[in-house]
Amino acid sequence: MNPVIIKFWGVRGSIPTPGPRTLRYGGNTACVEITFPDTPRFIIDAGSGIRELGKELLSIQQPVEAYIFLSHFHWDHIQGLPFFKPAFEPGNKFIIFGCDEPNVPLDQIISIQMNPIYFPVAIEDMRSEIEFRTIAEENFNLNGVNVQTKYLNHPGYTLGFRFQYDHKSIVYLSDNEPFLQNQIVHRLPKHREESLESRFETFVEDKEKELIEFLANADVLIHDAQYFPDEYKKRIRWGHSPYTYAVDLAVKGKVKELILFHHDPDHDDETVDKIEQLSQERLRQADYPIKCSAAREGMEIEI
Amino acid sequence: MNMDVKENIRKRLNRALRSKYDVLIVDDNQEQANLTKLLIEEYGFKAQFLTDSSKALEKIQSDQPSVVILDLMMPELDGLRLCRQIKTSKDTYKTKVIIYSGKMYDSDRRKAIQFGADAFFVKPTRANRLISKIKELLPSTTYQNEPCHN
Repeated sequence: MNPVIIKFWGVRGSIPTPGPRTLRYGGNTACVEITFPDTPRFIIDAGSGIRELGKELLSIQQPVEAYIFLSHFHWDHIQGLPFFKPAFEPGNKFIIFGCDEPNVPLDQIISIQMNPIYFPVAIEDMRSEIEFRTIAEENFNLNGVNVQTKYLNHPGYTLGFRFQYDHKSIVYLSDNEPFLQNQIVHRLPKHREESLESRFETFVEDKEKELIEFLANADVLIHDAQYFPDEYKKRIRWGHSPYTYAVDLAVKGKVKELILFHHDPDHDDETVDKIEQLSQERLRQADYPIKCSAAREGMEIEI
Repeated sequence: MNMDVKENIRKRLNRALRSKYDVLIVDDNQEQANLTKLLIEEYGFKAQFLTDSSKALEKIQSDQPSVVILDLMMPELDGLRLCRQIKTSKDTYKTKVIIYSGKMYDSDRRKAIQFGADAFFVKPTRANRLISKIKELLPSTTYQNEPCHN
């Protein structure tokens, strides 16, 4: 049977970080390509990494058809789209999936960043066939690939994706933060304290359980691992995770491979090496020594 | 008495008569929804909950609760969209909306207020904060006595 191939075109969070300090892992923002057999390719997020992917697709010199899934619309997930050359070529076809806003439809969300104030080329100049499809938290099939989506803990509407083809599954949770711990407490009348208050404290546990169910047994989990735990303490409510959370989710969900993603723009290659090494150590300590690596531009995984 | 005033009184009376309870909780997590209901009842209010957010607007239209507590991340219809529907429907726009969600971001709070929410609490919050807000938002006639446990 033909393999499923995952290729990383952009792995950085927040802002592109070119330069000698990020040469090995790369400085382009989020973009991942998944090739399933006999279906148009899947592109997850359109950070600056999608530009290089576009160049490669054009070099194949065949009509391009792809599904583009946008987890959300923060710059680092859409900023490459105006530079995605295949979108400008007639004969190519794209369906863009994303979660719209209650008062802004999906096509407008995308076209706003190509308003002449910000960019000289308009979305109307994209001559390929582009369809916009609004999605929320749901489950649907696309050419033999089952797509499941889940709202994540990140500012605004942010979706995580689970792609399942045959018995192979990939889960992409790029921008995700643990729910706040220990911030309770409901003050109840004394006689009710134990029975009610303690049950409320399961909220964080319940939310984590839902997430673990979503990612359970994935062949590959791609998860936000932007910070060291000490850094995270200073960046709570920024919408991202310490690597320890990514590792713990992988263990609890019994995934087969963990990819650490959305590297901090201030982390150079040696720092990302360190996060990778500490994550591998934590997996060993948990007696769950699965394959774990920090995502790198150009890296390919075959399932 | 002019027609507008009469109409207003008629609507308020109808609302008071039709309202079977004070607070409706909309949360896709049944356990959390039920716990919030029990908590609110502990303080002397009547409450109900609903886990299917797509049926919420209809229920609010028919039951006319004074306050609705909404979770944000719900699969059928998310809390922000539902809040907007409540606040733009002629039958429900006066309903007070409290967003009660695990999402803890200022941008979500600002967006909720922009769509008409009257309050925003990060889950789980202190009960006294939630209850004080409910008291503040309920019409004064609904909450006359201190709750039984005080």
